[in-house]
Amino acid sequence: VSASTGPGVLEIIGELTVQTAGERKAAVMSLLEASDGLDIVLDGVTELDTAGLQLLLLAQREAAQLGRPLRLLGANPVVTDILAIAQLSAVLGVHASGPAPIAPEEATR
Amino acid sequence: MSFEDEMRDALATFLVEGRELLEDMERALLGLEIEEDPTETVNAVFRAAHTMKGSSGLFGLDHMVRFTHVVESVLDRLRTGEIGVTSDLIGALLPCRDHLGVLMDSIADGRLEETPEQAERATGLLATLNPYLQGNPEPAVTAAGSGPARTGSDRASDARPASGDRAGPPGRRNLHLSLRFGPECLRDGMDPLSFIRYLSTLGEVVDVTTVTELIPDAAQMDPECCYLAFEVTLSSEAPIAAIEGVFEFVREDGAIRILDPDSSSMDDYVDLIESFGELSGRIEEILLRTGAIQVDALESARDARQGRAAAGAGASATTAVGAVGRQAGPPQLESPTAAAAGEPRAAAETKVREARSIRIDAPRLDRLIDVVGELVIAGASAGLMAAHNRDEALTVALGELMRLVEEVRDSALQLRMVPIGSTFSRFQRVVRDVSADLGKDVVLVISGGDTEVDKALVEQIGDPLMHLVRNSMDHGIESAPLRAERGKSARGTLRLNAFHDSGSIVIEVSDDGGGIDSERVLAKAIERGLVEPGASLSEQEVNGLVFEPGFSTADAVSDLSGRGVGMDVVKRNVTALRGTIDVESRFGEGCTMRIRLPLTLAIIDGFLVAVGGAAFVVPLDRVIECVELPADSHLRGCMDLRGEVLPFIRLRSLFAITGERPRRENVVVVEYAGMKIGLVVDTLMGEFQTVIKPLGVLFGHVNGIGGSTILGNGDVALIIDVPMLVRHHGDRNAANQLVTTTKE
Repeated sequence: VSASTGPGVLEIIGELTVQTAGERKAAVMSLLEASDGLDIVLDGVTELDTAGLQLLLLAQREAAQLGRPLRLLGANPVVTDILAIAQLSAVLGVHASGPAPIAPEEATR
Repeated sequence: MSFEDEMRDALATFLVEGRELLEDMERALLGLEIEEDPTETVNAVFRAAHTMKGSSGLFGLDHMVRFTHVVESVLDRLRTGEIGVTSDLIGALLPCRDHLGVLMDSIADGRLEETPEQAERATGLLATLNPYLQGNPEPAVTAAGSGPARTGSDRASDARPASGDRAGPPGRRNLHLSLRFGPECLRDGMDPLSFIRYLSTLGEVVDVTTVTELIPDAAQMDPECCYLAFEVTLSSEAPIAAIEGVFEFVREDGAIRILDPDSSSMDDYVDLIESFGELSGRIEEILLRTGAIQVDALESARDARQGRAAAGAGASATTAVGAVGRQAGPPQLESPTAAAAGEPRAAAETKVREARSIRIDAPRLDRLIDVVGELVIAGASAGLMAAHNRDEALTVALGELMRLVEEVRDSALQLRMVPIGSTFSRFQRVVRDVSADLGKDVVLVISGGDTEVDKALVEQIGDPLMHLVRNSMDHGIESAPLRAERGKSARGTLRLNAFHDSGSIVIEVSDDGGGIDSERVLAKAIERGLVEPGASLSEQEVNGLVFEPGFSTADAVSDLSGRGVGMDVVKRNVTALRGTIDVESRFGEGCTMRIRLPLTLAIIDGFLVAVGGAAFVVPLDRVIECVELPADSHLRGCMDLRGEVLPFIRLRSLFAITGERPRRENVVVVEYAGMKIGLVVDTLMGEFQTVIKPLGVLFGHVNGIGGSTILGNGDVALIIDVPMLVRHHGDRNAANQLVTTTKE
């Protein structure tokens, strides 16, 4: 898994597919439990499949259940393409990356 | 990797696997007649056809789907026992298999549509299957090749009888696709999103709703399992069958439902909604939102269903559910784990097959063997140094190391070895077809099928063998009346046999036919000027003449011998593989063609010798013994070996090596194909494991050298090509003999 660039931020570099889903899930879940909120940075994702998509959906649902904000950052074409096919862009909002503060109402939606 | 690349790769895999399936199918079909209990074989043929149909549907190869579908229907009837195994049925199915092979070949050439000739051929072939189909032939039979026919399973068309009557292709309409893939689909490399993306080639994907509610809690969620379901609205003109075809591969594991507003009944929609159990509300909402169904129609269908149930007339509804369920997978799916538990057999079988073998690029294997070869050399070199330094502990350790290296070497070489049986069994079909053509009754007996040989050799020996087999059947085995006259059974026997013999593999093609008429062969040879009249040749030599170019003693030229491939081509092919061929014939009783080929020549155990300053390696499996050269034999070309005359060759003069001859010389006695000769060398240096490096093209014409190798100390040693030397020696003797005979 990629380097974590500080508490509450997970930067995913490389594939987010069935090949890597196991370790990615562990990373996402442990960070989500350990911090008050989580930013998942998707800029470096090179491939995304159903397993990856499913993992993002799980993370979003878990975060909501724990009452912690979760944001997906980095609108990269690989990610937006998959979201367009699954027509999930509205459900899994991906924001341009940047140091913008977490807006609680958005994150806990 | 882009989607197009993925599809291209997948198509290549499809072709490879498809050809294997066709081979399986042929083997199984040929086995059907002789097996006592053909149930398992019938199933194997059916599965092969079914998988072919499924995978060709995945690539939109409609003509293949159409064709295979009919074949599959016949096989299905065979499987259920509605029809029995007959020779005629197999005779009808085999050409269908061949046609599929032709289709695969043209797909490999990039033609994804069928040509008019192929369509015509398909129609003709399917007509021969007609008698084996149900009393009322399916539309697919008559419509094949003339436009899109229904290709869905016949059960599906039974469930929707109205659709069969519809003329022409359906118009553009909004289909509802409910795609719930099997939980294992991701692990199996099937990405649902790729399928959805692919759907856009069949029409317009109007709406996709991803159902995420089936994902379990984080703790139970297996990240490699697929929990997502997709409800897709597709606007398309494509027939249902084409769309079903896309999902052929995954339908067994998952629940794929395709609902067509033209032909699906309201009940089908209700079934779909109910199949989601707790989530039925969600699905209902999706269906209503996308306009797939209307509220009032849904209500009335529900009312009707309740009414039927209340009236105790639920039988028909149950049947309908059953039909859809069989077609589209398990209708009830309470939790993802429930589906995982009931993994269908087909998937399990695929896995078993995958576990049994893996595919490797040949160059990778060659690279491995090359490196192992270097390892052997490096190990030998280290061993030499340890011995030189008299370091015993190191010598012992290296001994163990070398033992392991040898084991690695053997396993690496083993990777290239395949049993020759699969090549042999291809000839069952050839013998069957050729005997039908010739009107002869011939049975093929195979033995030694598990003899292993280098894969590259197996691939190249097929053509020569094919010719020998055809030749034996055409010219060797007599017609039934003649056999009766000679007191033989009416049924001719052809044998294929293989065995290992001193570093070679021997392949025999024998028949119990007429054998070679040596007198006629000799007469013909004299007539052609191949042999001087009056020359005395042994029977062996006379029979060997049949391998000369342009030699044929056949009285009648049949369509088999008119192919322009003579026995000389067989001999040339075998020689190109560094092999030899000879013939053993008993006139009136039969004939055996014997091909002798090297097993593999990547690495050999060699015997290192030195002449002057040069080192040579003699393949150890050719070496019989080593003796000292008797002092009195300097002037002769032969010596006395325990009362036997042993001709010898001086490597010093053969390779024009200069330098003083030592006082004592040694003879390495080698044997090839029953002939012994001695090689005179200066010193014997002992056994040596060696990797053959081929000589460059420049040295391709050098006789007597089979390759080179690098010694532990970095020197180059040449590898002696014993067969070549022995043959060369024999030829020279024969030439001498001929000359002397003609002089007389």
